[in-house]
Amino acid sequence: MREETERGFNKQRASLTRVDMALIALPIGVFVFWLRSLQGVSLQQMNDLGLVSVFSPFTLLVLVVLMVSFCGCLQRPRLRPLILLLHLCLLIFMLYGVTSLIEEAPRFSVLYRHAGYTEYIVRTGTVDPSLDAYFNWTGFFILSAFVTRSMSYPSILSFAGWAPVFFNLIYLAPLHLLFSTFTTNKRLVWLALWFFCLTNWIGQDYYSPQGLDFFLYLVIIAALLRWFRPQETQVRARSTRWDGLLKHLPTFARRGYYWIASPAPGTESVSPGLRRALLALLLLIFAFVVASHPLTPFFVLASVIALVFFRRCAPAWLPVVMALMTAAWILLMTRAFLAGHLDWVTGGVGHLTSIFSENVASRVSGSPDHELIAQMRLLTTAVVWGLAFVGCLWRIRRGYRDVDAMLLAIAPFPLLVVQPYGGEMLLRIYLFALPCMAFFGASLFYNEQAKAQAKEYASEHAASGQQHRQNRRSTRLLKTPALRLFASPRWKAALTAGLSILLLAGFLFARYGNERQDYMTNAEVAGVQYLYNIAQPGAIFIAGTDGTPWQSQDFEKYNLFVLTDSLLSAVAQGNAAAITQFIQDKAYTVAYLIFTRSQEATLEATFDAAPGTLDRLETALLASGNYRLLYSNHDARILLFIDNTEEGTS
Amino acid sequence: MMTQTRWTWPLVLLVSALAAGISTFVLPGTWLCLVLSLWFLLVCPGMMVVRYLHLKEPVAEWMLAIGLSVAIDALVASLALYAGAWYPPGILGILMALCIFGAIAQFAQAQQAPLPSIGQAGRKASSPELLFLLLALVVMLSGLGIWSYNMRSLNRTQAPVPKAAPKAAALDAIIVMDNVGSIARYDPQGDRYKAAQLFASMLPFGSEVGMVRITSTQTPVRVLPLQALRANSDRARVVNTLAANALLPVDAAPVAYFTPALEMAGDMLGAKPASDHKLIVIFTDALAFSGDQQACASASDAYHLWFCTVEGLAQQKIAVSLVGFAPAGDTATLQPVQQFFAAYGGFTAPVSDGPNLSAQLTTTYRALLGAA
Repeated sequence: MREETERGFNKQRASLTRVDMALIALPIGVFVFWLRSLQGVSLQQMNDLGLVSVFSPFTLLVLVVLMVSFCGCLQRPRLRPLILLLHLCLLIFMLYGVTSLIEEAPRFSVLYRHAGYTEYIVRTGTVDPSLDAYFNWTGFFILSAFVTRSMSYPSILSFAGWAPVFFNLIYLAPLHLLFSTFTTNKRLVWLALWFFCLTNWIGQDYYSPQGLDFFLYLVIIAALLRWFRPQETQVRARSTRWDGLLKHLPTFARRGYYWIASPAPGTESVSPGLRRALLALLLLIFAFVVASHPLTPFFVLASVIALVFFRRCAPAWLPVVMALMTAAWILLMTRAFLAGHLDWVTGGVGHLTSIFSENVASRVSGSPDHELIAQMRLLTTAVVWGLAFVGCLWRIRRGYRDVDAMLLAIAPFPLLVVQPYGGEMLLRIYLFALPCMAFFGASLFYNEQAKAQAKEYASEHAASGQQHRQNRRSTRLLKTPALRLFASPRWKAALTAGLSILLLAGFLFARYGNERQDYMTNAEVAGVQYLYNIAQPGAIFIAGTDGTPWQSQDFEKYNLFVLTDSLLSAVAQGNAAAITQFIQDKAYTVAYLIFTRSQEATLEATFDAAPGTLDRLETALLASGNYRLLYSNHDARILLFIDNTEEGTS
Repeated sequence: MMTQTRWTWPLVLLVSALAAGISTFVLPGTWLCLVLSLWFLLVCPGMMVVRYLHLKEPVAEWMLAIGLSVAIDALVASLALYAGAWYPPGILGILMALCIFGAIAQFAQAQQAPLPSIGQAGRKASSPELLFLLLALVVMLSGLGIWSYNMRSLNRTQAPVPKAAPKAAALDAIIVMDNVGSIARYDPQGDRYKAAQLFASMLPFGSEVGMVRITSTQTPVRVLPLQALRANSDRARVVNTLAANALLPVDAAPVAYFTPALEMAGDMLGAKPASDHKLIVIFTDALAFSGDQQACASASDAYHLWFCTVEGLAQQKIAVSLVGFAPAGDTATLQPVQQFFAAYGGFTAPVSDGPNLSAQLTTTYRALLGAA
């Protein structure tokens, strides 16, 4: 059997046609042209529409060609997984690695804070839970410190810029396995992978615990659906136990439950020994998730609870063990954080108005371009979810019963009611629901195998009259002229390419719309580095607003403040006296103010401040006589506060 | 063919573990080290375990291998950290040992047992080996966990981690500034004043700082009497004085007199209580040539007769250090001074003009002030 497979594979490899060769050469050519087109990108020209505003039309054109190439390849009579994988890898590199190629320093100010956590652990060999929330969920940063030291790198900043490419590449394996548990149609699997890469715009895949934990979430869920589906005999045995309870429910609810909870067709049996071993390993992986990030364990739990409750996977005690592990970590290891932040953790429960305000309304503000980007993000989300909804309905009508995917798509949403998570919960929900949303979106184009699957299922469940009715309906649907036209490969290629281009446009605006704030220049980083070189431990650093690439070292030695957190109007009006008073109230020995290019961009985009706000503030501060310019380059200035009052703090 | 396949992964694991170890310890910081370490840490510990499952699905194997590797790496590193035994090479060693152990066990298994079959009843794991492996893993990790928890409790009671590095103690310091002759060549931009400003800005509050200028005559200039640093405004006055002096033109005379300036600095510090930490920092060029004529056995040549004054100051418990400006990469010019200060116990910091000045000096100053 194995030899037959190998012979078949060799034959298939030998029979690469000219079209296949062209479909290999095309994406590689696209990639080369894309690389060349990036040479002319000038980041200084960027406006509040983000990276798209500095891309040349040619850069966008080659991306469109890649979309067409993939969709054409997907419609070839013989599916070529390696060619499709080549397209996917190049797409990931081009979409997620572009910033590392054209920007001077690693993007995103949060990344520098993550570098600081890692540097603290490397330097001290300890964690201090009272310093920061992430020192209570230490798993990722301990791993980061260990890997950084093992590779003999001075800081994560040397390689962290490539994390999005790395993470999205490793997401492919569990996603492929997950989609393969939803369908046997390989084209649908590949298109769902493609759509996932085109719609993962929320940017949580930077060098962060949540970036890695999302991969582990996918691993756990894919493994559960692959190897832990309950056998039909188990489900029936449990059904008889539940029947007594269920008969009290209304008829539609009982039918709904049976529809969801009936076993999936073609469930493969796995030996108990393998199950036990896999379960132990999955719990080990979950232990790392619990120790790494405050939020991801709850997404895993929500999904596992949904799957177990509706008998989509076993064992039934798994969510209980996972909940206990999560609770144990929170109660034993995060007491320092909870002591000061309990109100923050529990305060948002059920406050729907504030949840909506933090997650949606407050984000659609700022300069007109910034508002447009926020609206584009909402629109992209709506398009992805809308496509998924239509795809899901269509598949149900055609006799598919994608209960696993539906449950996984819905399971993250209840968490929105529990915690706004600083206005980011909706983003996280989007991410965790995205694999199934991408699958349903892709399923709009591939569901002709319903008949075959329905036949297979009907033969297994001949006793079920309801299934027979579904099969008849799906067979009827296939005969409609509209679907026959839609099933034509050319039409499919055109439609999938069109949708891919649409999603690509949404991706570029949604993901890189804030790039003017997020990118960092060498000059900014050099300014911050100078500050760390001259400042004594115990000094305070004050930034105009968010977006400073600081905290990448000596995390515990300096106290940081951001003026716009409490003095937005003083910043906007150049009110030096208010800022001086603010510093004097802090009663620290030495205070440094740092103003950078990314702060200026953030002020203009997020707060709709006039251009040059920080320049005017700096002039006002220097004129007050209480500040001295210590350092200046074209993207960063550092001012030292000089307390001229006799009772100056010391 | 079958045997080759079964031997491939154990061999890869073994070679990867050894290669990662060798590259980390022999070729640290190289691209080879990066690639080998990443490969080993992200794939091998997990693959070592996954191979026992005989999944026969490459995608699933790779997925689980990466996920497990991450978890195992983090677990071992976390246990070491919470146990107060943070030592990355040791952690790497543990992971290497795990992989080598696993690979050898797989070699042994490949020789003895046939591959488990995938029959109608479904996939079967090789239960005895698997259970043994899992049991060993659980026992080892539990043991390490209990040990680390105890160690962590012990560490907490014995040695609380300081939140911030301790501040340097207050001291009395005199800046002795060279502004004569060859300094114009070695420090054309006047960065020695910036270096002195940085020094003044790093002095802890409670310190006192003064300044003496070396001249081309036997009479130095007392630019700033000892000034107490009690508030930011005091520090600002000192920094401003230094900035104002930076505007003075360099005295073009060829001879600078170090000894009188050092003696003046010594006199200023001599008035302070004997219990105070006292420090003189000379800002000069790499040559540090003076025109002093007093005989001095410690001097390497006729231009460094001021060395004996430094020895005299040391007897008064006044430490002397020197910041010498030299062209970038020039280590030879300052050598006589460095040799003398090394023997006497003082500090010599060779620096060069340019944007990296503060980076060059900050660490030096921290060490200097910490030592004081």
